[in-house]
Amino acid sequence: MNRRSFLTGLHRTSQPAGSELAASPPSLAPFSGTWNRTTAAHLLRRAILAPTVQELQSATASTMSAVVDQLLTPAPPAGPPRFVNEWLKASIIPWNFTGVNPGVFYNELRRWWCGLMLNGGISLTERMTLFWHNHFATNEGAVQDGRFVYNHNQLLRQHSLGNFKQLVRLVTIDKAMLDFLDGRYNKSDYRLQENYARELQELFTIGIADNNGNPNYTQQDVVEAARALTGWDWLGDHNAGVLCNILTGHDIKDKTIYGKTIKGSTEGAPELAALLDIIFEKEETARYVIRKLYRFFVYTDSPLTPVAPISSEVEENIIAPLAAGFRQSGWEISTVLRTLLSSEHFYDSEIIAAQIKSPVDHLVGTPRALRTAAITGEPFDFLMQTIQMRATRLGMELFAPPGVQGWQFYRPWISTSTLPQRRADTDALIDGTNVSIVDMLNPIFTGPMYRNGQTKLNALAYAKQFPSFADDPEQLAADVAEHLLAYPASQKTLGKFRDALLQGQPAYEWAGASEQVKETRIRALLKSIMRTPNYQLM
Amino acid sequence: MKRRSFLKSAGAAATLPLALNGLQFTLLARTPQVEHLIRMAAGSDKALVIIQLEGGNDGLNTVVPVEDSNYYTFRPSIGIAKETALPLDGNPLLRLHPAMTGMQRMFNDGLLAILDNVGYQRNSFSHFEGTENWNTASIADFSQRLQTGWVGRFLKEEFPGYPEILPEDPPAVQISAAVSSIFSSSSGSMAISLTDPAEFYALVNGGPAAVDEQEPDTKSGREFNYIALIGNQALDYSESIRRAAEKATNKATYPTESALAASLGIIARLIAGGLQTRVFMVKLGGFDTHANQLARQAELLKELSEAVAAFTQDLQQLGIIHRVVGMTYSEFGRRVRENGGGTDHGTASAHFVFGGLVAGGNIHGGLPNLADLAGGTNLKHAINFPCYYASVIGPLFNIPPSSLAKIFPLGLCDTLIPLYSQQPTGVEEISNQEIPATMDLQ
Repeated sequence: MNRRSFLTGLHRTSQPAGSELAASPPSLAPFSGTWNRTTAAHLLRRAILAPTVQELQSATASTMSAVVDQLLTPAPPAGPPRFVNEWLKASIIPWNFTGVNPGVFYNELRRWWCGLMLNGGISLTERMTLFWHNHFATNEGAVQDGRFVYNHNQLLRQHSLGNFKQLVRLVTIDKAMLDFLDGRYNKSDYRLQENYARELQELFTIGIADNNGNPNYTQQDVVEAARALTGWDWLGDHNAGVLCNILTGHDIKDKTIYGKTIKGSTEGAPELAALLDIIFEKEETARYVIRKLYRFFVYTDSPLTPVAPISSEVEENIIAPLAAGFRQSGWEISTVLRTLLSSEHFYDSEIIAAQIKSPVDHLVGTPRALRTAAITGEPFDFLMQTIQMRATRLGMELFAPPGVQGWQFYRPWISTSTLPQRRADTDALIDGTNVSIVDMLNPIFTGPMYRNGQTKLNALAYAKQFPSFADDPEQLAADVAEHLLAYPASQKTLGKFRDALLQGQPAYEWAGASEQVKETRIRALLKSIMRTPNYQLM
Repeated sequence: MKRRSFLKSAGAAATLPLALNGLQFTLLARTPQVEHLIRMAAGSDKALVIIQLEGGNDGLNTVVPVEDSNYYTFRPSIGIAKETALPLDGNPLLRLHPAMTGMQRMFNDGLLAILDNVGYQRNSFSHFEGTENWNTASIADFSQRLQTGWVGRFLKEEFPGYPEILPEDPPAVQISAAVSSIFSSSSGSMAISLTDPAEFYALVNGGPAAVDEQEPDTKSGREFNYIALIGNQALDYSESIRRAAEKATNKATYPTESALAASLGIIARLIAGGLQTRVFMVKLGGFDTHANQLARQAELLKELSEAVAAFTQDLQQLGIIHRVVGMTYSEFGRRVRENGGGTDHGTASAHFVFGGLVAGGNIHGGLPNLADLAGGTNLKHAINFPCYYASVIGPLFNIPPSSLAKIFPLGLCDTLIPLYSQQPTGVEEISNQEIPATMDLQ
């Protein structure tokens, strides 16, 4: 008998328990079921990656609306990491990285961002910053000035829960975007560059087609939008702001988009505003962005985000009313998130655990769930270094999505290559692993060029948070599994977890075992839990 | 093919070896299962290597129409001068990009053919939609886009029981962290992915045992089952991958610091080591040259050409050049008129097919017609791209027209493009083969 025989094996019925209205059509009505550990954990997993034991307890004891309110409160502004800070202050590093390895700079930036997700509290700020990074995807490899990349990320963070239309306007004339999608080369007449004008419509606002496959715009609309966007430039001065007028190459003739005319101007700003007014008048613009938010926070069975249609049931009952609300609110992001994350549909039992973790969810989420306090100092640096390197290996290099369409999420994350690697990654995080950080910029400042260290999560402190730690190891295995798994383990799998913890010894000996033995066993338990398919789901 | 798969797909296992032995192909072909087995026996030693050029490669600056004055009018600053472009024997009107010396040599040595002006009527200028169109072989409008990849459909025809019934070796391997939608089939992806055979084996075998639980068919249950399936596939295939990789050593020197070259080196080892995988895939990204095209495209085409040339030399020295065919594709070509430093998204482009079986030194698809552009701005295609695909895999894997029609349901072309110097797997060859030995019925 081979492995595939599981297909004929027993089906079991244990399902994540949430709303009991799974059979009725999806509804945006406020969730009216019981607020409990399962629903609270579901909301937090989708909103902040992985809640700590403490966070989950507090959220369970609170109410849904209170937790959603808290999530919609922006996190306090995040200061820059050290190199960026020094750079912004003194401009010591040349903007084009002459004599400096840009990887050193971006690795620090990646550590910094992963750290904001790791140590952040109950706020959607970092989750939404990641959403916008994927939505307005830019790649540091194609942006020449590292400060642009940093400022772009901060722009997304600052407006992550703000106004969508305003964000589109600011991103359009953001230096990283002007560099990445060649907007700064887009000039009147024969030097017209369609790159940004196309992606603005295809990926950032209206989408290439509606849910039935009807095109939302034509190639001529791309050309006309490109003309309206000609001339935005910083004229080679990296410390200057952007400007756009007839002298910087702006096309001053009239443009016609979606049958509407944009009056030609010698200045770019009014034309940009007029262009966005036309695009944002279209109902499809709201629907397109809402579909993307839906896929990011709720579910999809078609990971090809910008292309694949959504089920007509969801389109009619969720996307359409949410999109209408988005327009009514004047494009306030927090308004639609509040409705979505408080809806009956969001807590549907089938939706719970139906997402596959992205590499960042997986790698940052692991120490986030286990931490008992903020992780800082050298342990922070080493942990974040290993996490950002491993995320890159799994296909998710922050600041470097694979193309302007961003990452695909869901099933494309899991392959025969990445799944074994993911299990090796959690093994390494639990057992501890050696890490090197190369700080080639340090000769300019102070500090060592190379740092070698170990990163190891504090498994014992984590486990001690459970009352069952004292004298009920079988319950402890179940408690830890419940905390870490969105998709509950079967009885058989739970048995394997208990075996990993007890390793053949009677349960009554647990209380008397040494701290050292307990720590080893807790690590074995955690690795066993994290190697399951269940742990890949959220 | 694994025994269990044979038994399941063929049914009457005990009688089949006798039935196969000595019978004529025409007679055997009456049952679909037998036809399938013969095709597999015949084509099982052939491998296709697909190289995706991500971003939309500019065909006009790759295979340059050096005698067409329109070309230099459209491209005053990024046009490739005739003197620097590389001549192609017997084809005075087209030359190769100056960085592609390796592939020029292959063309002139008869190991590489060029297909120019490959595209389709309803071209998409979107990277995303264009890639999906090319991956799925969708040439109609959006509402008719096929949901599965063309290679996935081909492999599903070859291995109808997959993934419940696994062949001995994976049907397809992508050297990457993820698998392309080109491999998606009605029963999931037909490919596995890995970046390094030894690392793959170590990782898989240091991990947990197979998952033997099946969860209910709910939204979350389906994702669980998918992850379990992938984990089990990795366990199933890591050993055969390692064995093949260890059996062979690369004989040619590959360029260092090229991920493409390193990946092709792995593929050469796997094929030489006996892995019966039908399709391999690698990607080279960065072809979206809106700006600074001269420098950027030269770098990429140099990497492509050097890697492909080293791979071909390796295949020759390993004695497997007649078993392997390589091909390129990209989501679109680029605009005929330059925008100053680069080019915007366009339509048709030039592609390459190479290997020992290929009728090299030929250019199919004619010259780009710069005097007659679609909408005054874009190349009209001469070769419908699904026809290109079918012309590569049809003869290579001895696929009957009825199956090709299923793999390319939106149509391809009346006559396949003659890419091969000889029929790679002829019917005669099949009936002369020691079929019981190939079938390995235990």
